[in-house]
Amino acid sequence: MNYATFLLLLTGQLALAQTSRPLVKIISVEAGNNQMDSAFFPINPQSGKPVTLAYNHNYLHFRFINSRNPTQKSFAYKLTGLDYTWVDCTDCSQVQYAHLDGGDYTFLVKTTQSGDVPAQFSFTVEGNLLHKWWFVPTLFLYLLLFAGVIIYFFILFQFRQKLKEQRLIHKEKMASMAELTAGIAHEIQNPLNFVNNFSELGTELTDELKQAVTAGDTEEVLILTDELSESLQKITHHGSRASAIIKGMLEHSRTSTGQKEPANLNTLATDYLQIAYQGFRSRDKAFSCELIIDLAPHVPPVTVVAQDLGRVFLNLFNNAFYTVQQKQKTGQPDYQPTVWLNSHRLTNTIEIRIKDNGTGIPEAVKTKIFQPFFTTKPTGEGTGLGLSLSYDIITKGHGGSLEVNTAPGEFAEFIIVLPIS
Amino acid sequence: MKLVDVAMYLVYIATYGVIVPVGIGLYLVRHLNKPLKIALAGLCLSLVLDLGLLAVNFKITNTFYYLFSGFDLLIMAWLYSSVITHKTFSNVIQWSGIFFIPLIGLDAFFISGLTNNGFSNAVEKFYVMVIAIYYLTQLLLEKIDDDIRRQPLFWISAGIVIANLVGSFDIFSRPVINYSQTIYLQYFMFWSFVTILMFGAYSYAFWLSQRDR
Repeated sequence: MNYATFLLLLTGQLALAQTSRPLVKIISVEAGNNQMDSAFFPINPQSGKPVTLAYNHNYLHFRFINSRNPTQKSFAYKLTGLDYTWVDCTDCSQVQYAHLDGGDYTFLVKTTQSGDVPAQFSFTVEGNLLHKWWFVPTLFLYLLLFAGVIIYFFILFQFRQKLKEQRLIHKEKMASMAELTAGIAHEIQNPLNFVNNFSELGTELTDELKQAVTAGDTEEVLILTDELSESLQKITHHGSRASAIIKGMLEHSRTSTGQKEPANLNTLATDYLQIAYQGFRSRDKAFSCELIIDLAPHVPPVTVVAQDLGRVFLNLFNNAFYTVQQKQKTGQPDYQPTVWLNSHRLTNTIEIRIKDNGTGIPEAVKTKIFQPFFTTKPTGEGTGLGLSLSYDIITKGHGGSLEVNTAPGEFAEFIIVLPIS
Repeated sequence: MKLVDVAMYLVYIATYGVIVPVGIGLYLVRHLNKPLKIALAGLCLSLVLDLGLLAVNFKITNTFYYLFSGFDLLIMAWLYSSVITHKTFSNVIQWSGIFFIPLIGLDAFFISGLTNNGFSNAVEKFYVMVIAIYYLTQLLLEKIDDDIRRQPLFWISAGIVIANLVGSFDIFSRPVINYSQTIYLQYFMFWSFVTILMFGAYSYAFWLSQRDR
């Protein structure tokens, strides 16, 4: 190859290189968004580093120039990834793209001369957060965890409240059981005294009978035998009475089966009045109270859960005795503690009134007495569940009503109304 | 005032708000029982780290963050293993706490290279939250007759659970920043508020321990 050919070839190569270089130069690129918290910022188009823009920096502004002839302003541009064809513009030197979706883009710009190589700038707009495959499931899991913890503690608190209530109900039951036991112990003492006395009498009669038999006094033997028989009958009678009392106690202590059976409300109320009264007297020997019982005759049997209703009576009588005892302690002259038990037959219902002339119920307290855990008794003396449970037993358990009528400082009267059928 | 300024003020209050429970705790230290003393030690350590970070002018923030995660995890494991009555669980909490420390070290030096403590933070927050929830369950079911509001550790645990539950949203921090700085700043403000509440719970717990004696 001679020297001239080499020069020609070199010139040709240089000319080819000149024509393969873009005539247009991208002089500036700015990115930003239309939100207040982010201004447009410049990006160096010649840095050569991959440009990745955040999802919200999807406003891009390109400025370009014809590097050979700056006055020439006819260009064609295209954003691959968005534009399908070249866009021609005359008398322009900048272009703006807005609201670009996530994806890879290349901005191409060239002069309108045919064969011109376009200048290019490649960039990536990050996808919308919500469009990232992992974002929604992760966020969902997070929210699930958040909600799960809240629900877990809500259920836990409810469960704790239930446990607390159960414990208090158990405590209330135990307290009423203790009162019942005290009353029953007192009640049993009476027939047991009879049993003891008649047993001693029986022993004496037997001794006398032996003597009469030895003496051959037939008439005396017959009289003594009759007396012995009478004594034994009395032992049996009082033994049965004690047995009935114990049976009653066992029924009370047994968990209520909820089975309704016909019961005589007069008898039930009277029994529990006596038990409550004896219970109070066993704890306070000095306590005495006048009991005025006025019951309607011919009260038909009412289908009730006797154990539950007994608990109501016991609770109301205990409250009555407690309040008259408290009033008695104030030392009012001429005060006679009295508790009334009345029953009336109405058209389709039976009404039982339990009244006391104790301290009464203040007006502010009256609206709260049937609320669970409300008590005016000193700490440790009342669970605050007695009246609440009584109210539930009467209203929810038996379809009746429990109301209170009171004058503070004078009296309190609880009125139970139960449907006959 | 710009949103970013409000957010930064709140973050500062939340960060240095630890001074309040630390102050109350130190004042009442003779009334505190063992778990509360451990909690106080944790808060003191946290304050020391915060002040250390301030002293180095926030130059090695990320390294401090790993330390925060590690110490918090150890303190909580120690605290809860001392109050959880179930022996096996107590041991599990103690040993798992120790087991997580090398993991944080692994993340710090070999995985994330002291640049982003996201993983360590997430593990720590999740772990602390789980043991706090376990303890709260034990407290609520075992101390039925006690007034739960008078239990100092109830307040501390409730604060920890809420703060960590909200704080675990941090795993979304990077995508959220990319999406909108405004949203991220608002979340940061909420998180700061919750942290302040947590320190309030600590303070109240220390105060309770003195009143109950």
